[in-house]
Amino acid sequence: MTTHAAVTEPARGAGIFPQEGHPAPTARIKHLREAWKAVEPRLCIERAAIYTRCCREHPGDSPSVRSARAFKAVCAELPVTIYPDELIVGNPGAERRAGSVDPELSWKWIEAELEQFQTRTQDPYVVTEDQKRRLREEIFPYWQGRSLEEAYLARLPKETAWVTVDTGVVDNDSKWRAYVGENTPDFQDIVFAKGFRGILDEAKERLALLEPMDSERLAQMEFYRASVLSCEGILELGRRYAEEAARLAARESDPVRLLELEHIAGICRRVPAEPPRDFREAIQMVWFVQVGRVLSENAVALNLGRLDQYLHPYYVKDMQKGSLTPAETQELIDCLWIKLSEWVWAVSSNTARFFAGYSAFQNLTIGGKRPDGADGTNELSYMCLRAAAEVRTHQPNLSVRIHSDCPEDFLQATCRLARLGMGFPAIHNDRTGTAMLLAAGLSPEDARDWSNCGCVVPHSRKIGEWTSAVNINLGSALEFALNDGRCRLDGRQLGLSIGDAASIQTFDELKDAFFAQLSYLVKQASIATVVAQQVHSEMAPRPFLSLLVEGCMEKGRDLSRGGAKYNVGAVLTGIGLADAANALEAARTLVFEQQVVTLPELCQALDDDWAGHEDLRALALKCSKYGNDENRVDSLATEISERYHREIRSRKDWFGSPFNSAFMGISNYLPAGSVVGATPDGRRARSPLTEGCSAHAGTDHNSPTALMKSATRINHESHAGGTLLNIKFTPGALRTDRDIANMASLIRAYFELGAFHVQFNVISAETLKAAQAHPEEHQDLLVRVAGYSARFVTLSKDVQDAIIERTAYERV
Amino acid sequence: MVPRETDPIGGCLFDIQRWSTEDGPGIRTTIFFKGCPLRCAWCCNPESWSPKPQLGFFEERCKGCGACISACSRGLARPATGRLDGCEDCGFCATACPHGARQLLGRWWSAEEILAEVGRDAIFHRRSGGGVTFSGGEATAQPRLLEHLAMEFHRRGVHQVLETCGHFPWEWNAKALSLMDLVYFDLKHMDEAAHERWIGVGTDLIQANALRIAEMGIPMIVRFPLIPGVNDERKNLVRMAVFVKERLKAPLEVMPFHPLGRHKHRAVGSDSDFAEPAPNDVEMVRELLRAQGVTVLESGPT
Repeated sequence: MTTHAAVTEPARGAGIFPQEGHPAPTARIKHLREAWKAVEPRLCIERAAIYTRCCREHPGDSPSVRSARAFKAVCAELPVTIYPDELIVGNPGAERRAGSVDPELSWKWIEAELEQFQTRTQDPYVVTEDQKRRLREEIFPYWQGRSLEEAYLARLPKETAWVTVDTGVVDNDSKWRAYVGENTPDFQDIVFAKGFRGILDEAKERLALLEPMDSERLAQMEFYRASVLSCEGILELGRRYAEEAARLAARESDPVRLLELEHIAGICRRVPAEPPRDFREAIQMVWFVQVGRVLSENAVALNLGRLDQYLHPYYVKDMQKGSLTPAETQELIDCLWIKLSEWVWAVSSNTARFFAGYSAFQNLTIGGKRPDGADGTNELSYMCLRAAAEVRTHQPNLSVRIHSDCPEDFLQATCRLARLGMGFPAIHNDRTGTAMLLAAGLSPEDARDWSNCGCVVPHSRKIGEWTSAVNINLGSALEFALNDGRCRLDGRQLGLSIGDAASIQTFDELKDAFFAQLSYLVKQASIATVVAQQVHSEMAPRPFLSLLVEGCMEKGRDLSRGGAKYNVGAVLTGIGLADAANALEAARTLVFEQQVVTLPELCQALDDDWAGHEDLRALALKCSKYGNDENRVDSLATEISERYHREIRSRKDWFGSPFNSAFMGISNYLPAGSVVGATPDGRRARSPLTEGCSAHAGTDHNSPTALMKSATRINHESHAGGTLLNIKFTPGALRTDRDIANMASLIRAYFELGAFHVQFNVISAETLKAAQAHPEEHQDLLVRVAGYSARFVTLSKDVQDAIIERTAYERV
Repeated sequence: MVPRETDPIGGCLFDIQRWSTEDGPGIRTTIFFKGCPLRCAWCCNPESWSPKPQLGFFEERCKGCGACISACSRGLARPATGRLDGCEDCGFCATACPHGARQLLGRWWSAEEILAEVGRDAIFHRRSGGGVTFSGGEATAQPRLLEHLAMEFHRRGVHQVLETCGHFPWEWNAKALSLMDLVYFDLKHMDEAAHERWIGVGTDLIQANALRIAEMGIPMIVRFPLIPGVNDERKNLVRMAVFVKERLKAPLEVMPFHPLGRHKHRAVGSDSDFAEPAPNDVEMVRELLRAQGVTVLESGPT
């Protein structure tokens, strides 16, 4: 009974529960974290070199066999290293914190940016002269004319290329300069159930049953051959790590580490080949799958799915046997956190602006209902929260599912983690995620088992989906409506030429022009996606990843060709919902109602970026803004989101699935803003737009509850690609247990209103200083002054100074 | 300001604040009534004294654009000046001011409007065990509106808190008080002369009302604003402790003075110059009150 009690008693996390102090990781985790911090992100070209050589040696292979053969060679040849203190082993690069490049997808940006990798401001990488030489001499020349990027650009219709390639207006560069990623392995039904030897046997059996009688069967046979090679690759990788651990053990003088290494060797002899038998084997299996995926594709959003759900049976079994303690489990989860932070996603400078911070968006989801409808929150859910607080690295992207009957302890622990100010975890409404996937066509059981992809996309291990296919700039659509389809900043004609400001007589005409421009951008975005998907299906098979998703093995079809059980439509993300609504509202108020300015005069002010029109700008800033529970402008945001959704759902992607709409984040609102001139709401040229369903920075001056009411006028369930809301808090507003309880209630009420996601940014003293200097941009900041909450910008300078001082101190 | 029965129910408020988390349990909406019978020299909401809307001028924001000149109904307004003699607080200049330097503080709200505004956050109130808080100014100074709102909120099952200075005619507010779930009752000074000097009225009515609320059995928390040099001497603290413990049998929160309201005093042209008590002194006061047997709540701000 004592072991059982240990199983049911949640392992309460440091800093996650009120009675505990600051997070205190073990010495091992501290050492690993220090080692991680000591290394700068760097480029690794081993994978590219081996892959290139392999392709050169086998010129006649089909794309899938070619890719799988190269994968197997990489697994067999990449240096294997086990670092001191590690319990989970395996590296997706030759060194720690190394990012690989995939020249078969795109090499031009690597060549063009090779000299700037080390010096660029956003996410630089260390690259050596020898690496540069090898890339230029051995690797790039082979891929000239053979890369996916070149094929994509050659096939893209000229008009679509003009609007979408490196414009910032419609952007899908991460889908032709990189692999797709956006995948969640099915540990429960495939990997843990069969092991890769089991998967290998299955592929061989299916292959043996086929005869090359027609094109379909030929394609299936190529798929199974590639599957066999991929399995052989990952088995080889496991074998090499077992060997390395045994080799190190033989030389180890420290008896404690010796035992650990022998244990690691034993684990790697078991997984990834066989199904794991205990927690240690299972978590090592999870990491081997991650290494395999990264070696296959250097891509974003290689998610881990519901880690607390699929590891829990092993935890329970080990606890009952007495072979594992909660502290050991916590340390293993912390080790996984470090490993997930170690590899870096190597991207172009353009992509780095959209996905800033070396973040590979490996999403890990905890909490939520089980497929049978019961609450799935367990001890491991708490341990994951604690790992995030203890390890404090930028990965994984931790997502929490909250449902109406979720334990209050879990929700409050989530709030306490959010208070640490790392931007984690992303907090999600269980029910809305399920509704989104039901609408996308999943069965009720599968829909309930959703996990997150990348940033805030409801996803599933049963799905094939391009979850972030394109970004569409709503700010540009508005600009084109006022400017005859031309960019205000450089005059380029990227939209429809259907009339300028002088031709617009009524507010309805302005709105119609906006929707016409938006519709045109959606059309170009959908063309760009379909072409990209077609090229991927021909040139970029995903043999290893196809092993991990139900449906591919059964159909004998690669993930890139629609092998998954469900093919959910690609997601077209709208950026700048609040900006478009605010701009329309300001034009309506100032031009068509108060008539203080004509539309051409307003456009002149926008051309001048408000210089010499300061009083007009002040009036524009005073107009109603989205995020304050004001019907006038909020109903415009709702109308835009509905029209956007309908427009997108009316088109289908390459798999024949209707596209999905999303208003989600990443850091795309920064580059999207940089191509948009001044807008009628008072925003200045090139300044950021707004992420997801959030209010434009600093304009939600009413209250968090008002912002939430505005945001839930939008029907979140219809935007199956995900919706996002960021709320800012100062640390002082989240100090007491009562504050945490109120925050938890705020979240529950917001979810009851039908929202999907909320994330709390705990702001710094620097932000407050910026607010002091530019109050008009920070109308939203609420701070606590003694017994009051007040808007920071309304306070006098002496009080502001005192709060800045206190905030700097309170920052955890 | 005795209302007539024929008036539409409503009143002058200076703000309705959502996401109010300091004025009672849970997430609350606080209604700030305008108008107060007291004139506490340290008041942090001086714009709440007058029972009418009034012009506020926030000097730091004035850009000198002159929009106020043409808007002024009396031909008085000039940039960089606040309320001038003869100003009727019409607020035209505030509407015209693009920079928020001129604001009309307070406006007339109908009861229906107030109920609707508070209702916007009903889901947050219910989820958090919060509700509505009547604050001010002084809510009891508009008894007809307070009673109407209290009955309406009671009917809707909304948790109700009253913050009061205690200086009000009992009969006019007895009904509303009976519907409160919690009362925060301010006690500022026990000495009649000092009370007259700092606050402008005596202590009798206030203490009598506190006793009536205690007798009715309405949960009450006494709030004691600690102002150095005004009410922090030992003699006053001991008298207060005895009254609170023996007569009211209520817990107490110490509210150390803070200078948040200073810029607001400047905005409406009044003066306030009090120092914030040192944290150690605040703790000493709490200890002294505790030593006298008073339950001093930790929930008061630090």
